[in-house]
Amino acid sequence: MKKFFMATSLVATMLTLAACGSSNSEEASSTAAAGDEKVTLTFSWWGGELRHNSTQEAVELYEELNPNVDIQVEYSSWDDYWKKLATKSASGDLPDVMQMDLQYISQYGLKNQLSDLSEFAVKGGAIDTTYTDESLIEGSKIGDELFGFPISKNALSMLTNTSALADTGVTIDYENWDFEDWKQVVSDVHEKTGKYGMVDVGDIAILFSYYLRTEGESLYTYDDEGNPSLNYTDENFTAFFETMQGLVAEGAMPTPEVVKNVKSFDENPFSLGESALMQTWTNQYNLYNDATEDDLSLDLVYGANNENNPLSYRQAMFYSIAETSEYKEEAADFIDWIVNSTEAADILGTERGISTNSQVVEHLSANMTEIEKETADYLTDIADVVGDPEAVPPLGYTEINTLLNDMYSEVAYGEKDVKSFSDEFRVKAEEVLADNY
Amino acid sequence: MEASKKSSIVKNKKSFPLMGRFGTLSSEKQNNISGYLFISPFIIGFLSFIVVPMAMSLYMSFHDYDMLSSPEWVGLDNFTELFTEDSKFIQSLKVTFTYVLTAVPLRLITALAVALLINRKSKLSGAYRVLFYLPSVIGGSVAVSIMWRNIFGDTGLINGLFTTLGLDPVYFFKHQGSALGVLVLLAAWQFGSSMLVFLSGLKNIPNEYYEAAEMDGAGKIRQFFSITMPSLSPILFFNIVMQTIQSFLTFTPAYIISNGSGSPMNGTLVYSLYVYQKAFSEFKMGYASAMAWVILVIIGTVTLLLFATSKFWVHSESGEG
Amino acid sequence: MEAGRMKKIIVDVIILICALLMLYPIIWLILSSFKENKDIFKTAQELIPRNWTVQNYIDGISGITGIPFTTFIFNSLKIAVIATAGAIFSSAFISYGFARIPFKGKGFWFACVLVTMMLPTEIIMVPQYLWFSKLGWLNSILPLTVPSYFGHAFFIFLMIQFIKGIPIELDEAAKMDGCGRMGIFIKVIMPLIKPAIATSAIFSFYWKWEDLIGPTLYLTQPKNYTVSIALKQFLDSQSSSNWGSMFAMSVVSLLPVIIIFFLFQKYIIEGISTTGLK
Repeated sequence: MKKFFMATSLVATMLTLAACGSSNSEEASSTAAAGDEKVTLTFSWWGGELRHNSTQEAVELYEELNPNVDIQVEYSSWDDYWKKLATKSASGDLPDVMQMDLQYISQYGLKNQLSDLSEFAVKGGAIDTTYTDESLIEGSKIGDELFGFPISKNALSMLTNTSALADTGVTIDYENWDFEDWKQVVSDVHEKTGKYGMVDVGDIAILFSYYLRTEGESLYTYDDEGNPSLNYTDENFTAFFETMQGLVAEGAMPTPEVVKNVKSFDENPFSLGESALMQTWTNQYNLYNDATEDDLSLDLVYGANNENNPLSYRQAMFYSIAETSEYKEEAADFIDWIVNSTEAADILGTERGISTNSQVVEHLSANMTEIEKETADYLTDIADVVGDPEAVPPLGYTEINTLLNDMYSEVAYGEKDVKSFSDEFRVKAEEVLADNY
Repeated sequence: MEASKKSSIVKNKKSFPLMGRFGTLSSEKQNNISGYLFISPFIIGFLSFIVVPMAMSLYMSFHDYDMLSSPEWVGLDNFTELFTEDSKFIQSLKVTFTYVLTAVPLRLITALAVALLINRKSKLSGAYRVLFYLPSVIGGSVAVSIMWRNIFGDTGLINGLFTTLGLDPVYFFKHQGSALGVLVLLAAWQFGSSMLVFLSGLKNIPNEYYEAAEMDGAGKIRQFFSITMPSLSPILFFNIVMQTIQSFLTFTPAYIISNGSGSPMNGTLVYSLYVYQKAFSEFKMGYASAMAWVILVIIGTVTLLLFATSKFWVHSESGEG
Repeated sequence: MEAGRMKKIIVDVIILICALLMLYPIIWLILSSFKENKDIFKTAQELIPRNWTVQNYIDGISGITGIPFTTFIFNSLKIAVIATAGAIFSSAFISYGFARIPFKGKGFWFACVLVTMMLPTEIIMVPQYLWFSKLGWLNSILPLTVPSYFGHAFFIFLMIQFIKGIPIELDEAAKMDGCGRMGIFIKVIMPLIKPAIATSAIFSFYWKWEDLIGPTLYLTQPKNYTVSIALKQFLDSQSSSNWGSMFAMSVVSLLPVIIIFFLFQKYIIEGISTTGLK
C-alpha cells in the first residue's frame, strides 16, 4: 500500500515537473521574441476585486484594438504589492508598466528603477498631456525627471457625518473656519455627545503637513540641487501637537491604535457614527458612503480660503515604466490609452480616483453617481484656492514618517511631552535625510 | 549528541550488513556510507536551496542594501547600530521574548491536557479531535487574525459580552500589555497542532505497558508519571523545541492585527514584524538581514540550551542520545 | 460502576462545552458568511444572521477577473498534494538516517536541519528569489514544490523522535532475518511511525495550503493564483472590502484541509501494539 502510494506520487510529481518545465520554456521563448511583430508587456497593479475585474476588462479591450500587443497582468493587494515589487527589483525584472505611489516613487525613481517619462509626457506626445493638469506633471517631477505619470488626483477634505453633527447642535462655517475654530468644534462635539469630534486615517503626518501649509510652511522642501530639508518652525510644531495632545487627552480625538487597527472602511468609527468629522482624501468619500447608512457631506478643511493656499492637488497614483523595460514606447502607448481614452474610462470609471485628464472627467460626468459628482465638483471648485502640489516625499520618507507617528503615539498615550518630541524628531529626521542625500 | 557517538562506535561491533558490495568494509565505514546515503536528500536540498540564500543574506548583512541598487559595504555598521542605537530593536526583543515565554507554555499545557482528555476511550473522541483541531486549521492566516481582532475590538464580541454582564468595556488594543496578550491568546487558541502531535505520541505508547502496570497495582497517577510522561518525553521535547523556534519568528497575526504598525506603541512589534518594516518599508534590506542573523543566533542558542537539558529528562527507547 | 459512568459523562460534557466555546470564532465566521455583506460588521455582536443569504457564496465562487474560485482551489490543491507527497517520504527517509545510523558528522548535519527553521522567511525570501530566478524557476510552482522533496526540518525532527521510541530490538530482529538498512527502514520503521507520517501529512498539506508569500512571489499569472492569494484580494485596505465573499470562500477553502485531516487522522488514533509485528 505504502509502495503504491510512493510510486503514484513519484509519477505524479515527474509528470507535473515535466509539464511545468515545458510551459516555462514556452513562456521564455515568447518573451525573448524581440524584433518580432508580437510585443508582450507585463502590467501590474494593486487594488481590490473591483479594480482587478475592471482593469482586466480594459486590458482585454486594448489587446483587441492592438492585436500585436499581448499584456500579461499581475495584480495583488496593497501589502503584497510592495513586497513583490521590491523583490522583483532586486532580481531586475520589474514589470513594463506598474502602478506607483507617492510614498515610493522617490525610492524607485532615484535608484534608477523607473524610466524618465518627461519626453513622453508632453502635449501630443506618446503619453498625451493636452488635457492633463500641468501643475501635477511638474509637481511629480524629481529634479527634471518624471518617474511616473499621475493618473488621478485628489485633495484633502473634511468629510462630515451630518447625522452625527446634527445631534450636537454645533454648526460649522466651512468657508471661513480656521485652526482655532476647528479645535473648538472638535471639543464641542465631544462635550455634547461623548463621541469623537474627528478621526483621521491614522497617519498624523497628513494632518500635520496640512496645518503647516495653512501657516505658509511645509514638512519638506527641496533646494535647487534637489536636496530636501525640513521646512517648519518649532513654534508651529509645538502649536499643532500640543493641540492634538489636548484633544486626545479630552477624548475628542482617538488614541492612534483605534484607527491603526482598522482594516476596512466599515469598521472605522466615522462609518459607525462615532465621529462627526474625518479629515481625509476626497477619493475616500465614495468608500465611506458605501460603508455607512448615515448622511455624509464633503466639505472644506479649515483654513482652505486663507492666503497661504494650503489645499493642493495630490497625485493619487501613477503609472511608471521600468528602466529595464524593452518596450518603453509600447508601454507609453498603453499608458496613454488607459489614462486618456474615453473607452478605457468607460470601463474603469473613477475607481482609481478622479482622472487627471479633464476631458475624461467631463466624459464620465454624464454617468457619475451623486457621490462621484460631488467629489469631482469639489476638485474643480477648489481650483482657485489650491497652492502648489506638495513636494514629492524624499528618500527616507518612510523612516521619517514612522518616527513621526511613533513619537506622536508616545505623546498621545501620555508617555512623552511635546517639547522632547519636537527636539528629538527634528534631530532624527535630519539625520535620515543626511544619510540619504 | 557527543556521548552517543562514543557509545555507538562501541555498539557497532555488530555490523549491519548492507546489500551487496559494501559488505566487506568495516562497520564504521558502512555506517558512514549508509548514514550519508539516507540523509543525502537533505544535504542536496540544503546545499541547493538553503546555503546559497543564507550566504547571500549574511553577505547582505554587511552591506547597505535597498534592493533597488547595488549593495554598499558597511562592515559591522549594521550590527553596531542595531545594538547601540536602536531602541526599537530592544523593544521588539522584549515583545518577542515575552510572547515566547507566555505563548509556548500556555499552548503546550493546553495541548497536552486536551490530548490526554480525549485520548480516553470515548465514543466522542473522534468528534473532539476534529473540534479541537479546527481552530488550528483555520490558520494563522488573514481571516482568523481579522476575526480575532474583531472579537477583542472596542465594539467586539468580548466587550459586547461585558456590557451585557454590566461590566465596563476593556480596550485591549490601547495598552501594550493587553494587546500582546490578545496575540498570546490567539497562539494558545491554536493549540490543535501541538495537540495532534501529542495525540500521535500518546497513541504510540503500547497498551501492554499500561496493562502490565495495572497488573502490578499502579494507579492512574503513577501510570501517568512512570509510563506516559517518559514515553511522551521525546514528543514533548519536540513540541517545546519546535514551538519555541516558531514562536520566535511569529509574524502574520501581529502584522494583520496591528495593520503592520506594531501598535499600540510597538507593544505588538514582534521581531519578524520589525525585520519586515526595515526591509520593505524602509528599504534597508542589509540592516534587516543583520537583524535576521541576530535572531538566528539567539534562537540557535536557546535551542542548544534546550538540547543540553534534554539529556536529563528525555527518555529514549533505542538508547541513543 | 454507576459513579464511574457518571463521572465519564460529566467530563465528556465539560469537554464538549469547552470545545464549543473554543469554536465560537469559527462558528461566527461560518454564520457571518451567510449574512448580507453590509451587515457583517454592523451585526458583529449577533451570531445569527438577520437575513440568511447565500449571495456571498455565489459572488465568491465567481472569483476574480473571470477566474472562478474553483480554479484557485485546484491550484492550491496541486501544490499542496505534490509538496506533501515529497515532504513526508523524503523526511521519513532522512529521519531514519539520523535516528538509527551512527555516522561521522551526524551532530553537525542535524544542527543544519534545525537551522533551516531559524531564519525569518522575510529575509531568506529575497535571496531565494534571486537564486530561483537564476535557475529559471520563476513563474512556476517549482520553487514551491521541489524543495519539499529534500525533507523538511519539522517532519524530520518529529519522525526522529518517533523512531527513537521504537525498541532497537525490532531492528535487530529484522537484521537477523537478513534485512539491510533499507529493509529495516521499509519493513520495521515505516509501519511503526505511521502516526508521525499522518501528522506530518496533515501539517504539510495545511501549511502549503495557507502559504501566501511563496505563491505571491512565484506565481505571476492570475490563472495560477492560489486560494491564499485570492482571499487576500477580497480584502483591500484601500477600497471597500468584500467581507462576505472573503468569509464565504474562507469557509469553502477550509473544506479540503478538513478532508485531509479526516483521511489521515485514523492513522494517528490506531494504537500500536509492538508484539504483533511479524
